[in-house]
Amino acid sequence: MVRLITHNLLACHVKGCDSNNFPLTFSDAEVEIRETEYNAEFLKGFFPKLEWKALVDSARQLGDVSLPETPPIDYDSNEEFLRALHHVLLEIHVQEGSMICPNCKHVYRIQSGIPNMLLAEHEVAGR
Amino acid sequence: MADGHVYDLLGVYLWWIPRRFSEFDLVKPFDRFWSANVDPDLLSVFLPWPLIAAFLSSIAPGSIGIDSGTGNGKYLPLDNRGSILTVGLDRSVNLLKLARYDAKQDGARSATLERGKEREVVLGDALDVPWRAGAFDYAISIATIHHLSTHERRRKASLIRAVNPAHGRIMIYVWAVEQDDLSKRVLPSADDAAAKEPGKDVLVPWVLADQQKAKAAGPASQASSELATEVKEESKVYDRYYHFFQSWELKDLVTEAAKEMGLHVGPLDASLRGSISRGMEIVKDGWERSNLYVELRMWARSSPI
Repeated sequence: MVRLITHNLLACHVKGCDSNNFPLTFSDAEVEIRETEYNAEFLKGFFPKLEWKALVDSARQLGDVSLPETPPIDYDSNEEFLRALHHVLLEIHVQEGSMICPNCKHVYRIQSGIPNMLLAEHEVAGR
Repeated sequence: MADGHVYDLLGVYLWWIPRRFSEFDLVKPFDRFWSANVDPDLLSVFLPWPLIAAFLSSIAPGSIGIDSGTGNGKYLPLDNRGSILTVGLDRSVNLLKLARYDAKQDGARSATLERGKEREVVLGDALDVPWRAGAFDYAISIATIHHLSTHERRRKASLIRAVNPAHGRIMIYVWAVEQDDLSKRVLPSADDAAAKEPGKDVLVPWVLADQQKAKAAGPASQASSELATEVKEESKVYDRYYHFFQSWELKDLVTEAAKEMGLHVGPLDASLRGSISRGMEIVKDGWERSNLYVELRMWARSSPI
């Protein structure tokens, strides 16, 4: 699946593309919303590891503006915020579309909800 | 490899199929075959389950992890009731289509193909790092690295780059040269397996039995009859590469990979030289039921002592 939780981890790994290679920009994204179980414990623990600006910007690309530019200081006790975070991270599914590297413009396709991060042998860094 | 060994190995395939369900990577006919013949009841029987389950249950809530070579995603549901999340990586899209939903365990075998909870899966290669640096809190690599055909490639798949340098944890599991009596894995003649030499490189032939071809042809839908035809046409012998690890070899591999990244190998210890700021501890390693495993923990200290 490409949910924003995974998108917040993915970076371009084309050979030589090692700066400004995150976050990937969504293009032609087809989005589905599917509810899933809320787990506050997971969200509180995961929040500090998020790249916040990347998450907010990417959510907006997908038409969701529920997250604030700056997260609340009381994030771990603010249930309204945690519910919004849950929705953005785990309930917005990109089924089809592409993710484009902001630096080298490499296009990573998403098909049937699965992001394709494979590269040709000559494109890969560190092989 | 001598012909006689190939013959020996042929006898193993039926046993492998349930046990090693998740390990198909690029053998397309097999991907298709398994996509239509999922039998989750068979999956859990022989798996190295307890060690992996214990490792995952010790992961702190709110952690995110990567399962490198996830196959059909059998470890993804071990999420401590939703308090951790493992992303499954594999280079077989057909296996990922299985991995992205939990199989529902409703009792009846037929019901196990219903979709359960959704999981995160990414199509990618275990040798690559398509993530921002140190994105994961933990990483597992179960029966994956032994499919990579050179020492160099196996070293690159050691996941040290994928985890957080200050607290990342890793569990790696591979096949061992030393097999227990219950194992039906057949190795080329053991007498030339000098303990100091690297492990054994073996091609394990995979064959589809008639019985399984019949099973593939079972459901009468158009899609599956096409599948059955394809499987039938392509059901010859497919060699899959395995590297059986010597007892010392896995530890050497991760040590080498850590040193290449400038990490100290050993526990964080106040008596270490002040210039050492990052390291990797081998928390435990061992042999379990014909497999070798190693558990690693990254550490960093901000100010030298």
